[in-house]
Amino acid sequence: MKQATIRMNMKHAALATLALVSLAGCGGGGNGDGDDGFAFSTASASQYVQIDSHAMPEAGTALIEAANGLGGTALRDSYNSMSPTQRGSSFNAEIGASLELFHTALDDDLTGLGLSPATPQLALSQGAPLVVPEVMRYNPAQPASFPNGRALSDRVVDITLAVVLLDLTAQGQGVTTFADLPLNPAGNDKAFLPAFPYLAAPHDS
Amino acid sequence: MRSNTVSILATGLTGGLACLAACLWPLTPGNASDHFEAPLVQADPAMDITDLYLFGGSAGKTVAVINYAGLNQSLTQPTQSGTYSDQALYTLHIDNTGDDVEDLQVHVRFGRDSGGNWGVQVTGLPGSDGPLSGPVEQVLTDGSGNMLFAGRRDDPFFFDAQGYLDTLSSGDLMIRNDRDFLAGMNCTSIVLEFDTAAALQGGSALGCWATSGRLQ
Repeated sequence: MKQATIRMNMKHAALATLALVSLAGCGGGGNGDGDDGFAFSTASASQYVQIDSHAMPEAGTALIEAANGLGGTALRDSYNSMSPTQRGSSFNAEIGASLELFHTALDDDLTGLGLSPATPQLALSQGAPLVVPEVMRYNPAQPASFPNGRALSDRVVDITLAVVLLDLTAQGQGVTTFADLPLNPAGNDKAFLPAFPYLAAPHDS
Repeated sequence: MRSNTVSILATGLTGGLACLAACLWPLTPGNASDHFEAPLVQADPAMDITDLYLFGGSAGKTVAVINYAGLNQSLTQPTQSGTYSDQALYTLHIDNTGDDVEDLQVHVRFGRDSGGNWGVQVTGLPGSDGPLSGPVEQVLTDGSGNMLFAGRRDDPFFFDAQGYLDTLSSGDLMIRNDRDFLAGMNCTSIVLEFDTAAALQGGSALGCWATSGRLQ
């Protein structure tokens, strides 16, 4: 609320100085020469405290929080504050417990559907490379398609569900088993743009 | 056809998916990010990274999108303005040797001009000679063809979070493919397009992650 008010005031201030800016001839901006009148902090990266970290879709939510049920915890804050190498294997037990919970509950249901669930061991070997370390890998020589990078339209939730739930070596099932249905929505609510900046315009109301 | 398939799944997965909801993607409306986040992140939407995307751009270019300030308990959706902070540092970490240690850091900062207008600056963009900066909500390009955009956009993530909640409360699988919990919601986006070869530095693949930091 407070921030919104500040921004509103800034907007008024901006309007008030618009004429001056135009006169000065520096209203165009965007040529990237750094001479555009904006004041950016020159503090080095080491002067910032890392608050959030993110690579793979919902990885932290699914695998760090799982064994703790709902809600963000100090453990999650700790996870977010670290680099992949700092984490090392220290969250593996947490991730393994999450996968085990998951399979204990779901395996009989998957079997009932004619699907082959991954054994806990297989689930770990299929899923862990995606999140330990939590780095998004992208080979630009191949088309971006999650988990090779991540395109805007990739059905990442369904793909991730398949990787952690299903035996991907079993006949007739693979990473796109759920995405092919799809289980979750097939795509975004707005069409993406064919060119930079690619993301759809915002919703205004 | 498809919804029939989903119904069959729904019938079969009843109890298990309740746990899926509880364990795997715990979300509650108005309180979700990553899309569900930890205390420090929920308190500050500028710090709350929701998604990272990495894909090919124009010839020889790679695109990285860092989205933040999306579904967060401190924001009302759809947001009516971008979320910018001059106390924030956004970093795209790039490993190009396969050891999961970053070889390059791309830094994005926000700052204001004398009129109070927000600007954005990126330093370390692979293939750029120097910093690239300018107003938010505009496509900025440098001499190398690298590009920068920062501003409010539609949140591109799609997911039936409500289905998980309903599954939780009812014990029946109610995930639907015709219901996108993030429909109609915005985030603030940082979009970077940079030279792929300069990012690879002779390597064959990129390993990336994004972080937010607050000035001490």
